[in-house]
Amino acid sequence: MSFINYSSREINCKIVYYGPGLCGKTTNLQHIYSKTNPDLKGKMISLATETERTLFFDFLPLALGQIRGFKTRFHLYTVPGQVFYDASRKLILKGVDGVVFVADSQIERMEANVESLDNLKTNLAEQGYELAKLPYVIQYNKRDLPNAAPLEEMKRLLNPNGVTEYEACATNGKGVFETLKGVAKGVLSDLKKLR
Amino acid sequence: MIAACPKCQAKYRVDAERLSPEGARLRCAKCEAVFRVRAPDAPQAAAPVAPAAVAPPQPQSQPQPPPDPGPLVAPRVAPPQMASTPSMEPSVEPPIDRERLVIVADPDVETGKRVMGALASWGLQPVLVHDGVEAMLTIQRMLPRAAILDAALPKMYGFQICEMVKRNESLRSMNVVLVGSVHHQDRYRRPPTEMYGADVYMEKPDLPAKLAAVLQGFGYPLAAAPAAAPPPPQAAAPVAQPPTPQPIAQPPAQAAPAPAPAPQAPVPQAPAPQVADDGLGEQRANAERLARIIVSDILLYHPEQFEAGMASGQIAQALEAAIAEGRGFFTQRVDARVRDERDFIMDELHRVARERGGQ
Repeated sequence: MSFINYSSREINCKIVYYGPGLCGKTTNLQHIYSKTNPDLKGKMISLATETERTLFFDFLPLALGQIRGFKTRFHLYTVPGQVFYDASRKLILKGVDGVVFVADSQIERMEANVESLDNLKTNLAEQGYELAKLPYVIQYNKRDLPNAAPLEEMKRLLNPNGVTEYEACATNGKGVFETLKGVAKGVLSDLKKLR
Repeated sequence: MIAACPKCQAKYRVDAERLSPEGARLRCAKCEAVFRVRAPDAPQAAAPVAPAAVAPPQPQSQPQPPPDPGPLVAPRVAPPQMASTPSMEPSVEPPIDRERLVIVADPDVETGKRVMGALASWGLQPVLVHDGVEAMLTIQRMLPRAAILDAALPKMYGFQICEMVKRNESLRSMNVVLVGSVHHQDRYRRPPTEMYGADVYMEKPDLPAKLAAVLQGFGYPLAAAPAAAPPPPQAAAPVAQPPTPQPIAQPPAQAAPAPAPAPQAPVPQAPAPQVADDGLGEQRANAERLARIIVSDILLYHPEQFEAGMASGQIAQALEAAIAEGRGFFTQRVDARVRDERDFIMDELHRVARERGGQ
């Protein structure tokens, strides 16, 4: 749930970028970070090793305007994608307000995508969430690669319910902000419903 | 006797002696479809076989049709039934003509029905299943000559089944048609046939239309091959009329020798292994899938160590820490009965090493 700080008149929302290992979650955040006005962003914390493994999370506070006099601040997190770091993923999902599932378009990673999506649903369910009821978008990343699976196939496997989806190439920024706006819109819309 | 739901293929044990000649209506506990079950020796049951088997002698077949549409008050359910029922029966009966047997695995009822209709009209014996585990079990049990597998089957993907079939000595000769849902096959860097060992890769929109040529390429003698200009029948498929008579025309020779006693012998056999296999088979498939994902992750994050291990022939040592992590996770997720059968992670690692070494 979003955290409202009445003294500073701020609403803090948590958006988690989920997906299989090396699908581009961190690259998404790095692009957002690099393109955001320094006055609007906090410090990005990334616990990564030389093997590109995100051991804990990336954290990026991002201010995105106001709702009824309250500033909204988005905290963007990524999870470690490697299948066996499930405990960290569960921890990071706590209190989530919106989810971006970043799918790796390479056909060789399709099983990992499906596993990661299943894992997301399971971990959310453990905390009493239901993916269908959360602001949630899918990003098909690495669309520029020659071994990218056809989009239709990916939609069929990963998005049977037709949630909002975006094609992206996070390394050059294509689709990154569209994805963020998509999920942020869902989160803000949920916030308005609560009021 | 065993009755199978025509929609989801769930199997039920039914006391044939308690069935009236008209049979009984059953509601599937799994998918709630309503379907009719008839006793194996009931005249009604013989009826659908007889008229078609004796297709020319019309006097007999004419009185039959009226009663048929009668009980088929559930004709809504019937069309899928029309396609799958005849196929399910031979699947239980011994006189299976393996040369004409084709497994169709498709999660979509409508597509499955269309393909079944087309295959039956070409004189083949199609068997329809809707998920990957069921497809794998059916393939192992019935040893068909060909299988048409949707790539994205639930529970176990079609391409996984394809890989397993092509790696298995006793199944390798089976022809596999892998079906993707979309066009643009050329967007794959490597063709799917090469990646998974399928004999042919097709795209769903082409399914019944181009299937005849593919099957003829496999050497199937198609009864109505020229009529395999069935894009029109495809549209007409919902009517389900043309396809149905054909499969029935198939068994004549076979149905004759096995009118009543045949169903009895195999019936107890068929469900037994299925029930025995089902639980563990699915878990085994999941374990293999998980091992593939773990190994895929390990290789993705440790490419240098893997290459070094390949070069020195000591992959296990080179990736020791990562493998240990992977094993820990695998142990949490996989039932000990399956886990202890073999070293899934190392087997997969060696498979990948062989594959890459061969390239």
